[in-house]
Order: sequence, then structure tokens, then C-alpha cells
Amino acid sequence: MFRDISDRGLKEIRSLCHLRDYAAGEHIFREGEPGVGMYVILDGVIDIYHRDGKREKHLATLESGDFFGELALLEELPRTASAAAKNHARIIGFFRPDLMSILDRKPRLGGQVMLNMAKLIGQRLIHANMELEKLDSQMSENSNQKLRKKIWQDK
Amino acid sequence: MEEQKQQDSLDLSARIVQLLFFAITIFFLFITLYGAKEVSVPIAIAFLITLMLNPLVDLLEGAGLPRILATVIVFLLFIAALYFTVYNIVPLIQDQVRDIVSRWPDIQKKANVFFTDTNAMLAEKLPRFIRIERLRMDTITGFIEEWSKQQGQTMKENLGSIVTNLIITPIITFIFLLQGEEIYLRIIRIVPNRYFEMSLLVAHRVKKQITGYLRGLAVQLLINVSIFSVGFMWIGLDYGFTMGVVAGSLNFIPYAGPVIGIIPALIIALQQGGNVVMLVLVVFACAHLFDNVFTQPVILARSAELHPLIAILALITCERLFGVVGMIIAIPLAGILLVTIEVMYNSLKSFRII
Repeated sequence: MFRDISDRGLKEIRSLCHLRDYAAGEHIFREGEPGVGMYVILDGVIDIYHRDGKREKHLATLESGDFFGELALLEELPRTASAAAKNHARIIGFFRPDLMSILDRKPRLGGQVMLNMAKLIGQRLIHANMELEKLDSQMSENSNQKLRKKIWQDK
Repeated sequence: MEEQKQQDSLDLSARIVQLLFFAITIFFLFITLYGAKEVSVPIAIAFLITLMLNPLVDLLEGAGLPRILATVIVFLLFIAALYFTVYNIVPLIQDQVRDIVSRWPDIQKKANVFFTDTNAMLAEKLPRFIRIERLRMDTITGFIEEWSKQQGQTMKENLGSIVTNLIITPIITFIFLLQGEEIYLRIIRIVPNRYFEMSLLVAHRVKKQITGYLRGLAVQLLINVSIFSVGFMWIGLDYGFTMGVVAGSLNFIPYAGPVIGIIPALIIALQQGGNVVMLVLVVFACAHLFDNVFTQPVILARSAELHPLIAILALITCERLFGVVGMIIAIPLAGILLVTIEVMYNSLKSFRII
């Protein structure tokens, strides 16, 4: 996200970021709430989970250096999953209002952040496409096998 | 046993430290709030000015200027604009007001004659419906006279605080413009984790809405004052400029504002005689039409719409609390409050807090 950004730019971003401490079990955000921005984990472990009816489905465990919630930087969509601290965690929050402020006050720096963001989303899209293709071929293979099996059984 | 004793004494000292911390915090809060009460008017005015000037400072900063330099430039430009207004426009209004005051008995007399004649005519033609014989022009003019005297007296009594406010307001505005972001970050830092994201979102939305609302209000004021002043001067109304400023400024108040605003112009027109009264009404209708067809739907499209009752209540409350200055800031402050409540309600709902 902040790749290729000068030290001065990073200092500027840092001055707008929010350093927060979370106790074990404390929520960073809950599923369904409006997304405001992203978080970078400085210290600690964060659990990402999704609630399916009454059941909780664990999606990922993130550690120091990982980041999450970055899509909320672009649009105020409801959070698709919840994030909670597994143990005491120290994280940095970077939010849409901060990004807007950078775009207003330092357009070049804001542009760089947006470009990095676009690259990141592009990479995720390519990755998702590859996964989809893999899934698709697996599914068609499965259905072919089932079909073949059915034909042999009918014979 | 020994360990338990040590733990107890540790707990006790922690409690004492906690209590001390809360006591000091409450003491500082009390002092700050007491001081804030004294400087509430300059803080409110500085806040409004900052909201309007901040985008300009951001723009200059975006062009590559350091924040401090951008703030100084915008601040100096604002002071220069204020200086220009005070030294060029205020004396003009002052002269016209002085002239009106010197001719006041004559104006009152002529307007009274008109009013009595009209009353008599209406009572003769529509005796069943019109019973306003008791309403005389001097009731209205007397009220204006009394109110002006009262305000003048209050201003004289509070001259010290007015001078203090004139010094403090620019200082607070400068601090807000330069360090507003830092102050905001410091405040947001103390918000508990559960309400942190929500507070950020609310603050962002409120700031955006308020800035839009204030900018719209300023443009509306400028348009209305220009239309009324130019219109009144064009039709040859005496003191046309001052009357235009009064009518245009009072247009802020929904429904009642335009009607109250036109009264001084009508009084002057009545004194002038001829068809000036009709022309004043034509200017009023044109300005009102332009305001309803263009300014409000285009400029104030997405801003808060103040209910007339709220607007009048805000005006009365602010006038009681802060005098004439209170009346100037009443409508924008009421608008800000309304926007804040609306945004907070929507945000709290979306975060499932209420």
C-alpha cells in the first residue's frame, strides 16, 4: 500500500494515522457495520471471521505486518466480516477521511497511495480469477466424472 | 500472607492514582468549560470562519505551499477583505442609517398617515373582516426604535467584551486553521475503541455537510443582498443599499425573514410616495422568485432545511444569550446542530448503537 512512497510522504501519512490498542477479544469492527478504513497490525494477532446464521466461520488469522479492511478506503460498504483481537494488539488505522484529506492537501502523495491501492486490487483480482478458473475446472472435472460414472452405470 | 498485603497496598495506591487522575481531569474540564463559556462567541465565530476558509488553505497546501504559509496567506486575504468591507461598505450603511435616524419622525408621520388612510378605506369597504383600526404605524416603528435603543445600550455596556472578542476571534481562527487537524486527532484519540470508527465517520460526514451548508448559506446571502441592493437602488428607493442589505440578510429566516426584511424598505417607500411601494414589492417578488427557483434548489440543494419554527427559536435564544452577534450566528449554528443530529442519528443506526 505504501510502497515507493518517500520518507516525507510516509511522515505525512503517519501524522494522519491512528494508533490504537485492543485488548484480547475486543472487536476492531463488526460485520455489517459501515466500513471506514483499513488497519495495519503492528503487534498482536487478529482473527477475521464471518457469521453464518448462528455459526461463526473463521476466515483468516493475521499477524504483525499484515493489513486488512483496505477496500473500505474506497467506498463505504458494509463490512463483510468481523475482526477481533486474539491477544493484546497494537494496530494502525488509516481511514477514508484521512485519504480524502491527503488527496486534498497533498494530491501527488494521495495519487501515489491510490495507484498502489489500484495495483493491490488488480493483483487481488488476478488472484481471484485464477482461483475461480481452478475451481471451475475442478467442478467441470467432477461433473464429467459423475457423468461418466452415470453412463457406465446405465450401460 | 505477605504477598496478599503487598497486593492490597498496590491496589490501594492504584485506586488513589486513579482517583487523583479523575479529580485532576474533572478540575481541568471545569476550568475549560468555565473559560469556554466566556469565549463561546469568539469560538463559535472562529469555527464558522475556519469551516469556510479551510478548503482554501487545503487548496494552497495542495499546490505545494507549507501549511503555515498557506494559512498566513488565506488569513491575510480574509483580513484584507474584512478591512475593505469595514472601510468601504460600513461607512455607507452608517451614513444612510444616520440619515434615516435624523428623518425618523417625518418617516413615521408619513407612514402613519398612509396606514390610517388604508385602515379607514379597508374598514369602509370590508367592515366585517377588517378590524385593525388599533394597529398604528407607530406600534411597528416604536418597536423598531425601542429594540435599536436596547441593542445600542447592550453594545455600549459590553464594549469591553466586544473589543476582547475582536482580538480573540482572529487568534482562535488562525489556530483552528493551522492546527485544526491536530486538534481533531487529539480529540478522536480519546474515543473508546467501540465507538472509534463510528466517531470518525460521524466527524467526517458532519464536517462535509456543514462545510457545504455554510458555503451555500454564504453564496445565498451574497446573491440575495446583491439582488435586493441593486434592485432597490435601480428603482430609486432612498437608502437602497442599506435596505437591500437588511432585506437580503433577513432572507435567511424561512418564511418570516423575507416579510420582516421588506418592512424597513416599505416604510421608506411609503415616505417617498408615488409608485415606489409597488416597485419595492416587484423587486421583493423577483428576488424571492430567484431565491426559490435558483438559489435554494441549486446552491442549497443538499443542505439542511431549517424548519421556520426552529429558525425563529434559534434566533430568539441566540439574541437573548449573545445579543446582535448571536442573531448573526443563530441560523448557521442551528443548521450545524440540525446537520450534526441528522448525521449522528443515521450513523448510530448504521452502527446498530441505537
